[in-house]
Amino acid sequence: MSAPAGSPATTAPATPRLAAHRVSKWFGEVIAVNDCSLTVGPGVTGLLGLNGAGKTTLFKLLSGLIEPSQGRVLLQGKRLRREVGLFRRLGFCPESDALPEWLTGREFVALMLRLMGFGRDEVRRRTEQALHDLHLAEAGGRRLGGYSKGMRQKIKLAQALAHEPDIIFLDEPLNGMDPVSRREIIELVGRLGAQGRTVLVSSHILPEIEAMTRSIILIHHGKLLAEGDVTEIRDKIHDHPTIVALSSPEARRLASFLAGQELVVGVEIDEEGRVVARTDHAVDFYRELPGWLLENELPIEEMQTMDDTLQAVFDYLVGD
Amino acid sequence: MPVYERGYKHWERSERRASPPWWVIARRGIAEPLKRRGFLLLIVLSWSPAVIKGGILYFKYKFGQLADLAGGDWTAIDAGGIYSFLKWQKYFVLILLAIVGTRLIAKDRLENGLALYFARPLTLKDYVAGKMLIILFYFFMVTLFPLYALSLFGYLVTSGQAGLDMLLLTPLRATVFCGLAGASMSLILLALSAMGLRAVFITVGWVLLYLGSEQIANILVLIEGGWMRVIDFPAQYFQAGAFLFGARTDPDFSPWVSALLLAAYTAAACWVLRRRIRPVEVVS
Repeated sequence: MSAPAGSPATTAPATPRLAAHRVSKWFGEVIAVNDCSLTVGPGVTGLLGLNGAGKTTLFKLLSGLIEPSQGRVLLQGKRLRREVGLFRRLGFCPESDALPEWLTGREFVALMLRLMGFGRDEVRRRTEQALHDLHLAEAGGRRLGGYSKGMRQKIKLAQALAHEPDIIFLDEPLNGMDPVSRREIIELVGRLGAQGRTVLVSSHILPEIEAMTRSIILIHHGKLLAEGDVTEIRDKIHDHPTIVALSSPEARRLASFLAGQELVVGVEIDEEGRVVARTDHAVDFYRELPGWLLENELPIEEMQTMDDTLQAVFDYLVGD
Repeated sequence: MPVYERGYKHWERSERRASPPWWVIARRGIAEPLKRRGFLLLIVLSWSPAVIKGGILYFKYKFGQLADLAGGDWTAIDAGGIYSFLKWQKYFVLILLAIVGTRLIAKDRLENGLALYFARPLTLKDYVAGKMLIILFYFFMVTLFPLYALSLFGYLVTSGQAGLDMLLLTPLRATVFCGLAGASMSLILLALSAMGLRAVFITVGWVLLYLGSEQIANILVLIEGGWMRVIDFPAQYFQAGAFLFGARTDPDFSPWVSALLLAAYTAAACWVLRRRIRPVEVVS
């Protein structure tokens, strides 16, 4: 898999980090988020969880929309709701596509920009730019009531991005979009991440997140289950060794060599003649493998990781 | 490039001063109902008592005592007459505020607009102040603004005989009264709006509070006595504000009781607003 466009940029400017310290949130008797601590840095990060896992509540806590019952959410060391000026650095795209139906797309984006504190000229310029960037310039004069689901999604993104925020919260941003728009938005999110902005994307559709980033936050039953790069998280799941399939003209010699390595816990040759190796330490395995192959003159034609996908990680951590 | 080669360029300010968020909300909310013709017609209609009173004043001073046939408050141009005019307007206040105010927060809650608002540099006070200004504007539109026009017209038509009291003091009294009553009424209506999602139910609640309490009080006054007027919601404003206009108060209970009741209603409304306005999406 090629590196996703949204991987954290190495030359990122000093984008403010968002941090949650032992955050909990109760709604009456129900605990929605339980003692979560995390830091979200520059780049794209996916927030994952089953329905009812506390994903939306954590999303709203991080975006400052609701206050935690316990703990703190800090942006640059300051509490968001106590210094509302910090919201100028935030862009928020809500999940719900209920919008003020009587406003035109242009009026809606302009209203949201005016609430950000921009003057008239700047509002006009930024509105047109945002509509243009999301291919809504022509539809900008139409009332939101007449917008399709995909267009609503885009106008929500337009209002979230028009003020060029440092930290962007996107709640299910690809809902209802056609394949072309979906691709455009995935690329857009990737570009935002590559610019060094902090983008937090919430979705329950794993391939969407996978297309945008390898960096995830996984929440389950209100608790933080995992945080970090998918491969690194996968590597730590020792109950399920990582499965790597290697195609080689010398499959038997390769299998016998790998069977003797400490990092490999099992080797077999499948029906297609590929060597299928299992390892508890995938990161070390990937690091050592090229050396082994060169030193022993073992040719390989193709290597495929069978289960360090986001889906596999999700299933292992949540589905069991 | 040398200055002389640059040519003339008209100076333009690069950035206008940004409006505060409460004003952005208020301006949008005030402009929206004005797009509807029926609503504009209602506003015009709400000015009819002022126009009629102005017409009677004109004929009284032009044609002697002929217009006295109208009698009573219609020809009075003193503070008491203005106070009566405000009382006449109370049904227009009921209707116009029901149209403008009942949906203000309910609609935002129903459409999950609160999350969009509060993801911006905006406090609860900004949000409530913006919404309150919308109601206040239309409250003034049917009470204070026609009253100003009437006071000025009365002063002019009587060639100054009505004195500065008509031109300055009475409008000032009315401004204080309408400012306080409008602020309290706006907060109470906003609280009602924040308590529901469907405008229909909130409108019913508003009508029951405003008109229902008056009708129930009318019945109970006959059975229990005059003190039962305390449950008449709009009457409390006039009872508490009567002293501003030197008008006669209801003898069965003190204006202070009305003032305290209104303070309690308003405080309860603030409490409801604080509790109900949350940027959490409503999951249906």
